[in-house]
Amino acid sequence: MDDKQGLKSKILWYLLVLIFIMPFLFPLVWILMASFKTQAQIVAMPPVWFFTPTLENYQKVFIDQDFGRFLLNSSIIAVGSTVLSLILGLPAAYTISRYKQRGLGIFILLARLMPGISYLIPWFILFSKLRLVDTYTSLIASHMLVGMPLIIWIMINYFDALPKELEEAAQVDGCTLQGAFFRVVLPLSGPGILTASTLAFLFSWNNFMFALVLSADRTKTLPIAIYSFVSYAEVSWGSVMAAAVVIIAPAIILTMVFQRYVIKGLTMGAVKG
Amino acid sequence: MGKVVLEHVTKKFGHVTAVNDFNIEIDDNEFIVIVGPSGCGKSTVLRMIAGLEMQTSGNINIAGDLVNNKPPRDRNIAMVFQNYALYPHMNVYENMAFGLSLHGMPKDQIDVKVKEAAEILSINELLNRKPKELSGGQRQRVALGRAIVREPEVFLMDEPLSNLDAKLRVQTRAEISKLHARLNVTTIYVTHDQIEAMTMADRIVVIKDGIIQQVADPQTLYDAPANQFVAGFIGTPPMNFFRCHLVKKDGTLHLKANGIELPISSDWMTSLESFVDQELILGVRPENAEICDSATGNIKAVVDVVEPMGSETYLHLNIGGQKAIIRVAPDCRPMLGATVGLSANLERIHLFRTDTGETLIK
Repeated sequence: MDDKQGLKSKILWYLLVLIFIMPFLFPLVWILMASFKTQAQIVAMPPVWFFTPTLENYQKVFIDQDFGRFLLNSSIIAVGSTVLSLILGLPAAYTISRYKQRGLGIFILLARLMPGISYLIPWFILFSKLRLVDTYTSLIASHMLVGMPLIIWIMINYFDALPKELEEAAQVDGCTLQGAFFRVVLPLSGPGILTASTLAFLFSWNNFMFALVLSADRTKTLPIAIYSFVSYAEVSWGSVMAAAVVIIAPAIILTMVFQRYVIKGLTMGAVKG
Repeated sequence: MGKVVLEHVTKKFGHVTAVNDFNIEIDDNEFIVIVGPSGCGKSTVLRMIAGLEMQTSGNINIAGDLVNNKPPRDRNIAMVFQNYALYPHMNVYENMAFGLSLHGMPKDQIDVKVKEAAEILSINELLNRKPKELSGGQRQRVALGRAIVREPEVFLMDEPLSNLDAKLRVQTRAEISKLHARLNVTTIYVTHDQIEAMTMADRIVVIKDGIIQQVADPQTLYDAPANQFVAGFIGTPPMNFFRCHLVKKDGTLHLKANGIELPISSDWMTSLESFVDQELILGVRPENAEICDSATGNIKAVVDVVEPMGSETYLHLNIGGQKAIIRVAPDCRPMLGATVGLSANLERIHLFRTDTGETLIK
């Protein structure tokens, strides 16, 4: 009797879960399936559920469209902006946390809270004058505007939760303030850094708006490249879907691998213990 | 060698004065305990000596060296923190070796020193473990090990036992005393626990509100407290205080209150003359009054609570509305609510001023 009831509630539970994740998961599944279909199969009504997969779309994307280069561009910009944001953001977050510079922290947050689009015109003018439009520099710098505040705010909470005595012990043991930061604080901040950099990386990887204005042929990123598949004449759905899979895959893999840390990192400081 | 001198040291946090005009000379090899209630500024004093907090004014000398502006790493001190502050990402060996390698000691020498210190503290089995795999007591030993391996001029200990359970605390207390006897290094130890202070210290510094109340060896502090605060802080159960009036009757001085009539020795006549007809605080330690027949005692009390402790019994008494605790023989079990007489040992009573709390007679 109990077992039956347990089974029933289990089924009900998974049914509920399915209903909730359906709206999020269905498009993903559809994209993945469509990327292996022919154009005719994609637009067929009713939808084709069983088909012989084809790699034609991927072939088109990587060979005809030189998607490898966009992938490289996106990677350089996402990694570059994340690493630079870490280099500047970690010491900044540490200083804000330890020396209670909340005013500075809020100022940085403010820069993040401003709608990104409001920066675009001034940036475009500025980068044009500096001849930096369509360079990695301008894109990395623009993405840091979002990545760095993200890193700083996650890490402030993280550093707040680290006992101050550890750094003091390191200082008594013979470290300088900076030495204590590098030898004791940073090695203990792994999960926090992982969370912050995952989120900063994903933001940069997914960013469309900044790249639309600041990049051109040389530094075109993946989201912009996909956009170019949509022409007035026709939409090459197969290619768009294959390209979408290429963009989504790293993001999903990264999130899956680090999800434990990301959740831990985001709630860090909420429950100090 | 490890002499520590603090001259007119003051620390202000904004408008709050945490430590006020602190002066002390701590001798080489001395074990000094700074004791006081929480928030009295005792940890601030220790942190200023360590260089983790900068004094607002005054001078700090360590081993004849003025260290006012020196960072902690240049002060040749080692510190044990309340929460141990072991580096979680390093194992016990690395925790202990960290300071030595920062000072550029060669690896083989570090190895010898770490193993020697581990031997002293019997933690040689734990050298490869991470702090999270250790019990509280073991962590405490590692924290001590990290301090002694450095062979500093001065040990600073900030409530190192307060995270341990009662039994382990007693054990570790004795071990720290033994360690001090063996290593002979000046030790400055901060605690809020007066028992730790009494059992370990060569001299005790009692602080309240950032001001030194008294500096003395444990017995002097107990027998001759400088004021009511020190008298009440040192000793368990604490000293009993009674508000009394000093009256002159037939040429002799008496202390009078509801339930109390105590003659005062004629030796103190001159020093107390000016306080006649004024209110004073009478201090009686729990062991300095004996139960007697209610007709003969100089204090009359009603028994509120009887607490048998095995080796002794504490009586909680109500003396004319004022509460008191006295220590009696274990077999002494008066009835609750009974009226008993107390005879206070007149040689051992204390008198304090009501306004300043200062001791009048000891």
